[in-house]
Amino acid sequence: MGISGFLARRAVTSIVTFFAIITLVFFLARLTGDPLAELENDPRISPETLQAIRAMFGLDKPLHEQYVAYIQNLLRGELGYSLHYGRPVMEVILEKLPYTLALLVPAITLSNYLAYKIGLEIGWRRGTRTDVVFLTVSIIFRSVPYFWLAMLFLYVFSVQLGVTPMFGATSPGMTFSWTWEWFADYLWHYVLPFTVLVVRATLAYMLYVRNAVIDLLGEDYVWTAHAKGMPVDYVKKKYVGRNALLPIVTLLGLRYAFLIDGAILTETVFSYPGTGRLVFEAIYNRDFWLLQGVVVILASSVIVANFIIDLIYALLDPRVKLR
Amino acid sequence: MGRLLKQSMAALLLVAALVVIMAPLAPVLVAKAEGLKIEAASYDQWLRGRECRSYGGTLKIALPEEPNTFVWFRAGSTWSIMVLMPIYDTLVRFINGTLTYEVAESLEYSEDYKVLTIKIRDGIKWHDGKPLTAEDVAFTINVLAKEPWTYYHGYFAAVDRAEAVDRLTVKVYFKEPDAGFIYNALAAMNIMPKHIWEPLLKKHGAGLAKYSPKIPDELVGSGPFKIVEYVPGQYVRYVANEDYWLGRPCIDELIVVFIKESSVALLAVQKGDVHAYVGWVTAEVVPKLLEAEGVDIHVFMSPTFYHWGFNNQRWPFNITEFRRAMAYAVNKEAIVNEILMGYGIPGSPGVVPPFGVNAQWYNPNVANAYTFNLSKTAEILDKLGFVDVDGDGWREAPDGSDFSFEIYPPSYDIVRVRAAQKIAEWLSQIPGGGIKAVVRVLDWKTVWPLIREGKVDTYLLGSGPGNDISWLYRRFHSWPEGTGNWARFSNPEVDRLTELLKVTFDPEERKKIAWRIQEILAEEVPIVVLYYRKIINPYRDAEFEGWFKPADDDVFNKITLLRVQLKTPAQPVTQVVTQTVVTVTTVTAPGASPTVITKTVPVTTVITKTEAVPAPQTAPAQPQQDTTMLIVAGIIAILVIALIAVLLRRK
Repeated sequence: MGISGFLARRAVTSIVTFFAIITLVFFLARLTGDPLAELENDPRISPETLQAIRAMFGLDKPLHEQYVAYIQNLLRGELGYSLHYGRPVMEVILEKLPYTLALLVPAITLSNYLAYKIGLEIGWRRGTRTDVVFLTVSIIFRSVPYFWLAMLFLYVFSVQLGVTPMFGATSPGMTFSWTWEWFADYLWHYVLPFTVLVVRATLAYMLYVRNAVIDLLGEDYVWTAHAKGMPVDYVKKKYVGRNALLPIVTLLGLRYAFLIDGAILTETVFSYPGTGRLVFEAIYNRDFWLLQGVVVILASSVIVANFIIDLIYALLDPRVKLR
Repeated sequence: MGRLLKQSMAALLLVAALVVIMAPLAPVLVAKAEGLKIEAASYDQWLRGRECRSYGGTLKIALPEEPNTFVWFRAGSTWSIMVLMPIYDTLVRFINGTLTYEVAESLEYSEDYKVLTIKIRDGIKWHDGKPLTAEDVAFTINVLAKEPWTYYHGYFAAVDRAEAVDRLTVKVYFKEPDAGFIYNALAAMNIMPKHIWEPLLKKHGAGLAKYSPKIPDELVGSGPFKIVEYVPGQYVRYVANEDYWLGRPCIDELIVVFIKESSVALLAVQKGDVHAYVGWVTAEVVPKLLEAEGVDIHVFMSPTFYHWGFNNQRWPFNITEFRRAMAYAVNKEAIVNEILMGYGIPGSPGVVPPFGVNAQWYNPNVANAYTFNLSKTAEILDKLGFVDVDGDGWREAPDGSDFSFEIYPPSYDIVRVRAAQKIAEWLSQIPGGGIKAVVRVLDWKTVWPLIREGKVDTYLLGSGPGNDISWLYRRFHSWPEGTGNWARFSNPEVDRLTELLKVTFDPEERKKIAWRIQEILAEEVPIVVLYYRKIINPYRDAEFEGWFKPADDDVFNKITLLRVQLKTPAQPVTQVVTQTVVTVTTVTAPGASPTVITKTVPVTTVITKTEAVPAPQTAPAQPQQDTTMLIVAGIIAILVIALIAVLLRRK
């Protein structure tokens, strides 16, 4: 059928998936109960006020009406208002998204690159001293709770050594401006959360590459290549390395896709603004609208990322055909 | 023509005669009106003896959450209210449990309590230079009374309308008298600038609830600080309002930062990166906190009454005797000492907290109504027919069937979970057979609808009282809407008395009613109040002094904001001279409080001081070496090396 057939089929399944996801989230969220219930025990709030807030967010209407209204708004490109913040969902997300993007895109890219490089190297030299050291460190860093690891970094570098700041993405009072001073301050706050993210992810993901490499080393075509007397480096790069790219590309795509809720623990420990905490708080506060907004973005980015991964697979692996 | 003149002359004479006759009566009328005046303390009481000895410095306060809105009208969360507090003023304010006149100069009720006349201070200016007038006050009251979406609307339910009579006088007209109005509504009401919010309200209507005001242009207040900027998720920055009507704050700048993780916030306080943390701190960390140099804690009482609530409509909790038996089975002292580690006080059987604003209505006679006594519980249960018939160690219901009930504490509050377990333990120890109580720890948002709909037997809930004793109405009146009275308690006398509380203005009379209600509550035991909590605020006293520590409020409060100041002059020696000049200008400045700086520090002393003590801003105190953490890190390092060695050996 060719590429156009593939695209058409992909588009239809994507749209169906998307609507299935948001419908599911819409009803699942509402199964958790009344988001305003906690206000009922607030001595300052009267039943009338509660009623007014319910009406404002359409909570007084039957569920199916709420759903229809939600889909209509969505088709118009409106995500609605956040219950907790009382502001447009888009505004609340966009306010924090730049921080998340600036932190996670480089962190994910760098950590996946490093994971690939190191994973290939230690897989190639499996059983050597380097392999064992990296393996041990990797297992340890993977096993300790991330929260604890981040706290340890904060404790050592910010509290004991005092070389990095304790909290925030910029110093209080450092208003945003296009100056070196601002940028330096930003970087100073950036380095610790970034390092923790990269270290942890690199050490965790290089194992995937290492395992893939070890599997590949036993493949017949690798043996054949060696038997043909091909240069070792060429075999490593083209025969093994290229095939070992597949798991890391999958990971990379999915990590980009889940980027919006990616760094919740980093944000918590380093008091770094971002969307990860927003997702958590949306669930905690029963802020259905914010949650739905995040899911819309998340669902669409996962769908897009999957699509891109498939395209890249086709490029990397000639056996994969776009059909 | 002549007739008209004659008539008017006659009228004039009549008026003159009336004036002459009535004049002696005037003082009598005035005296009668004076009886309805509201007594309140003046700000002088709180500021005297706390003058600024120096100006300057940046105070940094950490909060655990960022504000969810900057529209005060819809602000309900503690953090939003706290972040807006520095920029606004109220008419009256509770300071350390005492009603204090702030912008209001006097409050006076009409004889039928249907009109309240508010006189406000002259000379107060908004941050944008416009004068604060009666129009602003009337506008704020009217918005709260008319817009149901405003957070405090319920407190303004009795208000018909507010009118600005002249520049400095507001009259509030009530549909019906409301004795709690000043304490509940006015003490919580920030005065909002009409010239900013009226156009916004016209434009957005109820949509104002979903509006984000522009900072700083639309966040104009009259308070001691002006808001400068807000960086979402990070901080809010304020500068001192140099023209503040109570005199400028001693500090130049205030920064409120948001640190979500409390252990990080505590480290930041210890390190000196922030000067106070206003969030939840558990008692366990206190000894460690106090080890760090320059750190102190402020401990205050929170009026929230944490209680073991019964569903008074469900068997057997509809039996008063049974509820009393339960009350005897609770060891409140043990809960306070063992679970709260002493950071709390045992609950009063009369529910009303014995401290803070509510202390004036507290009935101490009921305090010891139920002391922990399991044999008393056994005695009552025996009488009611709850006896262990089959000898399995558990009491059965009077009809011989197995008996047990459930206790629901919220999963997020470990104190309540442990308290519930303790209660279940005590119930199991009743002599002659225990009562089986099952503790169910669930997410509160799952349990809440069950409590509201009366589907659970018992639960552990924390409920806030109001500033005015009429809050007893919401908690114990069997009103049809029923919100607040989650115990589903119904008692005709309490109904009558709580209704009376809402319309009785005489303080002595109110106290009598409140005491009687507390007696009935202690007798009937609709709920068992377990404890009131003490809250811990860590703060630094190394760099700043003048922290105001009220017994019932955070260390981050209005008086602190006005009077917290640098301990030593932060500026270099050469600038100390300029500093003295600043002091002098303040003395002569109009509008400053009458008790201005009287003590002028000799410049020479200041110089030696500056030389001796390094400026606190530039040299934050180093935190103490945390040995346990280093040991843990060391052990992990050794394990890592050992593991590597073992793996290498195996090769």
